[in-house]
Amino acid sequence: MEPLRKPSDVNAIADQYRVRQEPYYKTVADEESLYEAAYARRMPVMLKGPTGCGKSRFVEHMAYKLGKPLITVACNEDMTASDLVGRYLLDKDGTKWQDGPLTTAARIGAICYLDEVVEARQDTTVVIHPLTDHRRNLPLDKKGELVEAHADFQLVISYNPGYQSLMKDLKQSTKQRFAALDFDYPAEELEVEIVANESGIDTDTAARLVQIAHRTRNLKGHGLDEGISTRLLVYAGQMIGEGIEPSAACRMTLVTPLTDDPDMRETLEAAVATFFVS
Amino acid sequence: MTVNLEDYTACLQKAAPEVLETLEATFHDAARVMSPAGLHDYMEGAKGLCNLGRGHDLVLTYLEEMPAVVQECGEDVIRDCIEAAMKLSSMTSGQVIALLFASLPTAARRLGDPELLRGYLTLIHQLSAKAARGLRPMLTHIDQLLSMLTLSGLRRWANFGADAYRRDLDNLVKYFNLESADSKKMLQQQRRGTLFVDTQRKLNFYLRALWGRDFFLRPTAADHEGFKPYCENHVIHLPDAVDAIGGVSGLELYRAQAAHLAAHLCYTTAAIPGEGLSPAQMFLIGMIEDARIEYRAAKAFPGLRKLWGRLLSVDHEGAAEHPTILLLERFAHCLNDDKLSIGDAGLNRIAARFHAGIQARQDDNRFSSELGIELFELLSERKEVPSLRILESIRIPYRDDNRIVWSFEPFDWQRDGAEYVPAWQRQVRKYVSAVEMANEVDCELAGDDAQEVWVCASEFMPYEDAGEATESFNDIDGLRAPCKQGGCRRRGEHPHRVQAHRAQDQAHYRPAFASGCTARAQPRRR
Repeated sequence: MEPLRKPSDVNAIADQYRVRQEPYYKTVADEESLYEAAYARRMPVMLKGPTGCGKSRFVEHMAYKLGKPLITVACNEDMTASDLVGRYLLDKDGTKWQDGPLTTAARIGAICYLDEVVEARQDTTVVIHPLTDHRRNLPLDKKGELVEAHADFQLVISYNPGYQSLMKDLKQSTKQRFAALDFDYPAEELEVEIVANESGIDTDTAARLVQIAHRTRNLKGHGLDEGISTRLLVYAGQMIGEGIEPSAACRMTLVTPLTDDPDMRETLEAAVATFFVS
Repeated sequence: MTVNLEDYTACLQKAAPEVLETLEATFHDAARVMSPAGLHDYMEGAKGLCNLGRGHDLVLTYLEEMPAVVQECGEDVIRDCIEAAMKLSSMTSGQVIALLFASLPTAARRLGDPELLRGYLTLIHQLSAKAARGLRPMLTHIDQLLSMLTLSGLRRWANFGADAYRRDLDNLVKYFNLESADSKKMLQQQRRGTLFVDTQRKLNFYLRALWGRDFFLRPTAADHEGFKPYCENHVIHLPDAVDAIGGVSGLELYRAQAAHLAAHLCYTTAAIPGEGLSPAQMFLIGMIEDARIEYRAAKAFPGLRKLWGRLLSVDHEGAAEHPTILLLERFAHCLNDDKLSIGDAGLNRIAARFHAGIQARQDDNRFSSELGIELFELLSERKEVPSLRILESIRIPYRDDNRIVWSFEPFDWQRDGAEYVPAWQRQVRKYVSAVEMANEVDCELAGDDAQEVWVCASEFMPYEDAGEATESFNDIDGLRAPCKQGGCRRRGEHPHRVQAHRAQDQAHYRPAFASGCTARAQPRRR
């Protein structure tokens, strides 16, 4: 991608990243107002919470609500700083600079969402530092350019504290550049509403699915790394909505993905049988 | 009490130099799982075995295997093991004693309970008198035997061989070597469907999933007819093996038993006063109380009603000992399922009253007392109350003996949080300020049994330069401290210690602090 210069270029690129359809998101507490206040000051935000609890959906929702483009990067351990910032590529005319997603977001004024940021190596994540303090710029060393962030640009990262370890954790110098919002699975009634709405099943079935999830969340740290997420419950609901028998749907979407431990699987199947009595 | 390795070196060196080498290798393992008192017993045991003059093989095996035994069954069994070896020394060779020690980790793991391990040692002692020649082959096959048999099954299998071939030594050896046909047949006969030891992990998961807390589960030798599970001192005692019954698998039967007892623990708030009640009245009140706690559990977990219902509707072989028993079995099923009725107007009326009133009085065990007395009066009028022995023969395979109904006491952390510990071993709990906490050096090796535990009233955060400024120590360790003012415990590591009781209120504390490095570095085991 050629460096963006003209406003029309910026708008064209930004349009690609706009969230066109309003995502379904149920506000749990005051997270929307807190996020809006942080965005007003373009404060970088960190979303913490277990997998499948709605962090990414929340960012989509806020991007839609604020009318800003959203560029999402799924971080992984093979990701390098160049994957974020950009690199020179070879073509028939020689070398050509290609902006990375972070640079693009900074140029067009998008919300850049780094999903599961701890998966990236610590030396990779330090490239975001100049964008997350008063400087709000991004030095492209290889290109010899200093990109000033667009006034609308904001950086959001998500972070699952359950996965942190000595090897995988954010540096203090990275962590302390973000305001943080804690996410967790919604309260029971709300989760029932979300599952019913997202999957199109009745609330009674959704309530049973949520009960099963609660049973597995009791096992977190006692044989399971994580309990069943809201996302998996939605999958289960969708399978049931497709006419699959509930226990089979639960086995496929709730039990099998969660664990390979045979004892744990039997327990989860017993939990399913407790709420879907055949 | 401190145990110094040097105090024993002279004696062990005299026995054989390799004993000392083994001890040096095993001492650290032993010190990790034993308290100083246990370590003292362990070392004294080694010294005793050296002085036994039966070679050094058994000492080596003892030193190597005992830490694993202690890990499974607690250190109280060390003395029993030594005692068993001493008794055996007058009956059999040192090699057999070494084999016994080698079999102990397997026995401890498979039996999973100190009482059952003691039973195993007793069996070995009895066999040494009855069939000493069979001991060596049996101990070499103990892995296979204990993977299929409970202690009771092993006892029956061994006693059969010992009695049958008391004077036929060749066949005796073949029997215990699992070479003869009758040995294999007897083994199959004694084999039980599902062993507790193979199920315990699943049951722990199951109960934790349902109630979000841990329960103590212990196996108990179910070697007599009519054994019933029970709950004592907040420990759920289940049979060491069960058979499938009426299409319900052994695992499901275990689940039904464990869930029933867990329901007693979760939905009982006070014991029913038993003064002035006859045994039959107590039995019948217990029946209604069973139905009450099952109603509570099934309301939260509907599948349990079906599981219990399947066991209540099992067709039993043979007739009941008394017609009332059959009637009560059906009545219990009626209480489980409000759509059922039996051909007895009086009992139907009581069942209807139960179903009509249970919603409003589901947490009130006086409701069980009232209906239980009514049931007793109904049966008394008809002169159909059998003796307690007959009443207790009721064929409901998952229910307990209901001692908990009469003796229930809420969990008291001060009293029940740990069993008796000598004053010098008692843990001191101090409530300190954040500044005091920050200025102290914690002992990272100290376990639940540290001599001092400091509790900070406010959330205690690590220092910034420790790399964790946004989370408290409790968060980092994944702890939800079950603390109350005046009483705070961490979950015991050992399965026989207190299991995690999720307290409602939380305090924040550092796991174990050592003032002047006085925290004990090793967990105390019992």
